[in-house]
Amino acid sequence: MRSRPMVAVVSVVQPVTFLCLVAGTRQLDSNNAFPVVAAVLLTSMWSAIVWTAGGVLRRERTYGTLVRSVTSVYSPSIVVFGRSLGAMLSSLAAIVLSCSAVVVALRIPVELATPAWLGIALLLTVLSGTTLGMLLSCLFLMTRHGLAWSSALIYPVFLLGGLLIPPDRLPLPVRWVPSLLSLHWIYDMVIHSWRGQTPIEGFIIGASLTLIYGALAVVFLRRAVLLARRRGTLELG
Amino acid sequence: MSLADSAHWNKALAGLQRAQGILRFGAVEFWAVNPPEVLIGSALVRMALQILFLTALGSVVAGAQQAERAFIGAIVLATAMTNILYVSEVPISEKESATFWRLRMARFAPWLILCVRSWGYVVAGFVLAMMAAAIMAPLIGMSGLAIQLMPLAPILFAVSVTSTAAGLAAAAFAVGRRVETLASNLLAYLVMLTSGAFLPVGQLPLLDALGTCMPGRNGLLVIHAELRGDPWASDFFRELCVGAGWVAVFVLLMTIQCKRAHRGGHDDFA
Repeated sequence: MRSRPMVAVVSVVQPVTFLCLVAGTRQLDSNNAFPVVAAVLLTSMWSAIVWTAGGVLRRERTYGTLVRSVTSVYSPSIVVFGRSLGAMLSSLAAIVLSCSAVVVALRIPVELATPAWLGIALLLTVLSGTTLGMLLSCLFLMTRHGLAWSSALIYPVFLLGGLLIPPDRLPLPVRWVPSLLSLHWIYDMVIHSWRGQTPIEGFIIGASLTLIYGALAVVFLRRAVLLARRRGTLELG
Repeated sequence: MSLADSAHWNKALAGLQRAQGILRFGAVEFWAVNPPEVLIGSALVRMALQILFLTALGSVVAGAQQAERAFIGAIVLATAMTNILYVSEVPISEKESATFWRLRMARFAPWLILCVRSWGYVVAGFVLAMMAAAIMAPLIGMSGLAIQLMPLAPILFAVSVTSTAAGLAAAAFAVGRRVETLASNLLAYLVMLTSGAFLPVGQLPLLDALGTCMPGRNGLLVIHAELRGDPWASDFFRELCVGAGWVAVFVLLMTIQCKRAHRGGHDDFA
């Protein structure tokens, strides 16, 4: 991950830019700073999911090591899970550091949520990002233009993820969409915690979605590898 | 016609034919890297959603009265950022294919060849931005504003040219280093931050200073001036100067990269 410039873009450049844009356009005080910072952090996590964890198998194919990764003694799911987890851990750390640096530099008065729930939210973010990244990785494996589709997936979640743009500001027909994204429920969880409420609903739904993503990723990956092995196309770019 | 005139004429004709060849190659390369399904399914969708996102974000953050300003800024940003990112394919593909040495051996200077080959990105960036704006305007209630903006399409084309120049310069940094996506993305996000499309000018002196060198900044000033009925010739001239400046940066960087290759006896930048 450290050798890939895209990590620096999604983990440093993007959150810094978004936070500066919002902070520069709107007066942030202790009543609204934390929700904004949390939304920027999770929005940047989505970019990190698409470009780092989501690109694991695509990059393997580009480097010609896909065959070895998915046909080793270990299950391909474990291999992809491990790679995605590493990507998510490093991305989250970089995003948190970048956002913190901007908060300090611009003197944004952020009041944090309850430390325990904040810790749980961060852990859930990593796990959720990992399983979502695995799922995307399988999907990008199906197409030759994975890079192009990656960039096309960024903005739908920026728009409909219920993060920077609250669900109540979305058109009525699409207000249900954020509920399919675990990041939205993690955001819901930290905001409830910040307000002094118990964020059980957000945690349960976020964790459930994480498990669903993981299960789907395992199923799709098995099918994709089986199909590629039958067709003899595993080694093809 | 004397023999000398005839020789000059033949030389000019040969140069023109080579230039035509470069233009044709640019088109073939563009379609190979960006087939229609990628242009429409990815680039156009991305630009349309980017316009929608920035307009919605502007409305959420700065209030509904800023939505129109955010819409205009979003169209310019979508053009500039897309061109900066996509045009990097032109020099980087030479690096990744290990064919950079062929550019050094060519009759035309490498920077000229790459500039001419990038014409497809200028046209595509402009056309896709117009299409994206036309698609999004009715959906977000900006049809009236979109119609007002139509006569200003040449300004958007100018922004497409200047941002392509900036994208080439950013990619030229990456030819000799393993920073393929970092330079282009860094520049694209700098444009987002400093162009005045979203963040009003006057917030931070450093950002304002950086913004004077960024493509799209003066183009936006032209659009806003025209909508107000103010003169905008000087802003337009500044936008063209910014583009020319980025071309100069590109020429300088490519010259340095070629000299490095010549001195080092290698062209393997990969």
